[in-house]
Amino acid sequence: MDISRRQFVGGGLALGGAIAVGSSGSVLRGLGLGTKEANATPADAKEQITYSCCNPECNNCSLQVHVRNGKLVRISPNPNYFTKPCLRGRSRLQWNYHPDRLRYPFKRVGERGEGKWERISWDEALDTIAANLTKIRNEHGPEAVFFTAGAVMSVMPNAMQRRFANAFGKGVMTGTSGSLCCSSQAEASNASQGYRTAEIEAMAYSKFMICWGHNPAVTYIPHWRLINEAREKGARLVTIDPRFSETAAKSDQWISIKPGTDLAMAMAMIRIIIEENLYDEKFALERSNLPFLVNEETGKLLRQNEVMAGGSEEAFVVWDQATNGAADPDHALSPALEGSFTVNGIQVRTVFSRLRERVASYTPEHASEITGVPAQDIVDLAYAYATTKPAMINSGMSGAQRTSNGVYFVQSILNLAALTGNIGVRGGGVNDTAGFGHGTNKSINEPYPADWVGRIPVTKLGEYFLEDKPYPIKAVYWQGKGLGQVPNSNKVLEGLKKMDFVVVQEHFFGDAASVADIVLPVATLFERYDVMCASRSFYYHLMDKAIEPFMEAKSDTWIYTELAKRMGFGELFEKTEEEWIDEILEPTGLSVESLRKSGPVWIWSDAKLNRFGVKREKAPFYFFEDTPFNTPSGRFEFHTVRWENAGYEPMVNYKPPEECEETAPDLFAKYPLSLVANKIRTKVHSTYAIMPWLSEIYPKGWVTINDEDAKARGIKDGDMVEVFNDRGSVKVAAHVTPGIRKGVVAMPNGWWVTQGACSSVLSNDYTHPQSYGHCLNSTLVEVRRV
Amino acid sequence: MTRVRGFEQQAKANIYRLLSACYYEPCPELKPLLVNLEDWIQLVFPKGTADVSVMRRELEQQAGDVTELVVDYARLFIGPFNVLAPPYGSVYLEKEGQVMGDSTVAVSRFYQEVGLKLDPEQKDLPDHIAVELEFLYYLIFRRRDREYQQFLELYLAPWIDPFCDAMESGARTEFYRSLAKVTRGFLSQEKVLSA
Repeated sequence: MDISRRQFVGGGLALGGAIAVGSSGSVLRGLGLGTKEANATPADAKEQITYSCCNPECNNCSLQVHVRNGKLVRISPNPNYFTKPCLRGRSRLQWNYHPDRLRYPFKRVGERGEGKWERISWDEALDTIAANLTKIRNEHGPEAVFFTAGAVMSVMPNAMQRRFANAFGKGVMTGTSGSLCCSSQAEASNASQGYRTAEIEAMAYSKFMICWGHNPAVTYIPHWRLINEAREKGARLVTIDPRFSETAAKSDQWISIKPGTDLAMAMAMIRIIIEENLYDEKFALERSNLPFLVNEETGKLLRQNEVMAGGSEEAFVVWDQATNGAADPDHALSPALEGSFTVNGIQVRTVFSRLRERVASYTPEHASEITGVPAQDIVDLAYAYATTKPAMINSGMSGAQRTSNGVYFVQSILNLAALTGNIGVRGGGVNDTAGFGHGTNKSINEPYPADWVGRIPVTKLGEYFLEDKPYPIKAVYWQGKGLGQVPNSNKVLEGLKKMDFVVVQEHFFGDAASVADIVLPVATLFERYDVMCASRSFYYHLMDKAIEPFMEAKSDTWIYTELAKRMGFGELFEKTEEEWIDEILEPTGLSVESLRKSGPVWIWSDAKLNRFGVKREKAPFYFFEDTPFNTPSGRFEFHTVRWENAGYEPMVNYKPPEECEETAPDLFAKYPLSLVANKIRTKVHSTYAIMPWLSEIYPKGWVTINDEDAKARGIKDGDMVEVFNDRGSVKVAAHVTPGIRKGVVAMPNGWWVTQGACSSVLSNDYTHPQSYGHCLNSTLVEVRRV
Repeated sequence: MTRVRGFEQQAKANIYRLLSACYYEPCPELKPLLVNLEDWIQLVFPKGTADVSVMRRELEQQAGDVTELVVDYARLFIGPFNVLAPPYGSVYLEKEGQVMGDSTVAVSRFYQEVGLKLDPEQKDLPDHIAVELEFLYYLIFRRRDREYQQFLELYLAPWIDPFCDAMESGARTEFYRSLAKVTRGFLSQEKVLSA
């Protein structure tokens, strides 16, 4: 509170209530006497438009931000951009002026989690944080402070936190492993083809599309138009999902599958394609490692140094039928795709033969038993997929890869695409809507060389905090991250409660803030500068500052800069936001000023940005047609060297999911329903959870349950039910429908723990070091009426 | 007669200013202001005196440590979450229930037309209850009766009831329950008188 006002008002009135006219400027706290400037302000200033970009983990659409009289009045689509923002992007208007927007820094005054808060000044907040972080660093080392930030796809907020964390420990930090979204997708794509691709615009060219565990009608609304463009030209759309999703409803066929068994279905399709000779032999021989030889005894790829004088350990071997001997893959005249051979006394077999054997038991009937999909549907889909070209598997960051089998599921769909020669084909491939990290913010992230002393899997925050793994964490600096997205969320809250110190930096008071010591209000997207260059498209966007931060909110950059000054490394934070962005853009030849003038810029317009080696004389280019596979063999790898080296199974390999009848019979007896979490059109993860426009569509969470399962439990549509397992319990309304498989329930994801209806409270936090993926869709629950 | 009216205007002006001070974060220094408020309110709105006495006594009982009031103040007006009685006009006046609405801009423009603007140091919004009350004080003090009546009728009176209701039902302390009552009572009397 303003001391001078308090003293003045107090003193003045105590003396008899005389009003000090002469000093009326200071009598009024809120108002000062009007100046000429105030009167000169035009009553209706002209509307100003700046460009920005929606930055959640979504489509990253280009936005036009309309401002009048310093007030945000409208968000509209950029007419010069290929996608148009959906209802979420446009509701950002309400985000900015939401009545629950954090307006001041707060400190906890009651017990942790008790909900008693006191407004404090920025100075007090920053001094408190600096003192606590310094104390913990001195006593326990910098790695005892865990820094974490949310899924913001733009650069600035997270790069600034990374820089601060790095400088705070002079490079020593506790890192994270994996991700909540797509680490299985990324891992399998990297292992098989070398990197991920975002073949977004190519969707319009597809003639056959499988949306596999993917619901773009709500999750990628701006891209849905492209899918419909293909459909208008006659493309067929098949959706595989345990739930009759919005995309399934618009498809030519819905295939209902048991969660976590998708890999078995894909392996059956691989088997059909191989057995029925539906594969693309040219691609198999020339661009994949299917003809490579594998040592039968070790199960490893045969290397040239094992069989050829002076051969390299890095190079592989095929069987050349022209010479009846081992040969270099690129020089063999007639490499054998199939067969067993003996090379230098080593028993070897081609990858193709081993793959044929691997999938041999996955007959349509056997796969049908595992997946619950009728055998004929599997056969029909395999034929349709293999005989229509280009055919795309549109998996997004599929729900099917958010299972304990996720990595091999993604490998299996990549294998399907490669076997049918759909890779490197416009409208083919596996579209995972991936992003591009250009790594240009490395200079910002790492003022000191990074030294990750320990790492915490992102799905395991609760367990690691509570069990002091890999060592005790004493403080958490939590920035803009939805705690209700982390599986087993109750455990994460427990873990945060035992911390000595928790800082939360947010727009709204979310779950993590409820157990924080200090909560800081942060400027939104339109109240600061940012840049998008790791987006769901090939574009660079400037996100210009359109308005001043709301009330006492400050940008993340400002906060870290002020903290750095207090902690003795202010010299590492001397730039303005625009200067940081110019530094990020420096290798690209772009700048804040140039992007402000030009609007979004296509990445390949500058040769320096061409990280993937796109052949530039050929425009438009296509991935894997115009770019190489970035794998050890330079080919698409069915038997992946990356996993062989890491000691993991290198080829597709089905295992029943964690938490199912087969793997956890005791748990299944108590909790016989398989829970999947579906994304909905009013949220991106937990973002937008409280926007009034969007809440009109879905005011509350619910659980979708099959009508037979509901009947067996005496549940009617609209009843309040409890969904529960050993991890927690959530009370929601039941949506009873035949539009979900029997034995499966679905909860829309994105509500916060403090709002109730948070599905992650129940989610499995199992993870595997192969990708440290998120396995929320391998979860068992029971439902009962309340 | 003129003298009586002048005296009444002074009383009302002071009540507005003192009520306004009650809508900033509470501090022990509020005590002398409440003593004053009690006196002034007795003169022009005697029904409210008991409520102000309750407020004064509660502050006295807290003897320097006003944490309980600060926490209640935060719950009611500033958050950090689920603000029980948002102190901004636009939240009640507009369909969307947002802050910084069109009415906020209109209020700001009203200040400008009278020749005032928000102190740039003041990071709060122009339609905050404290600012609006303070503005009414200014208008009375300057004898700008027409603007006083207009502002009260257009911008404050329409939301004071739902606001005070929310405050009264949300408050955990007698202090803020009583503040809600006296604010509502005084303003509804003013509305009738000025109409």
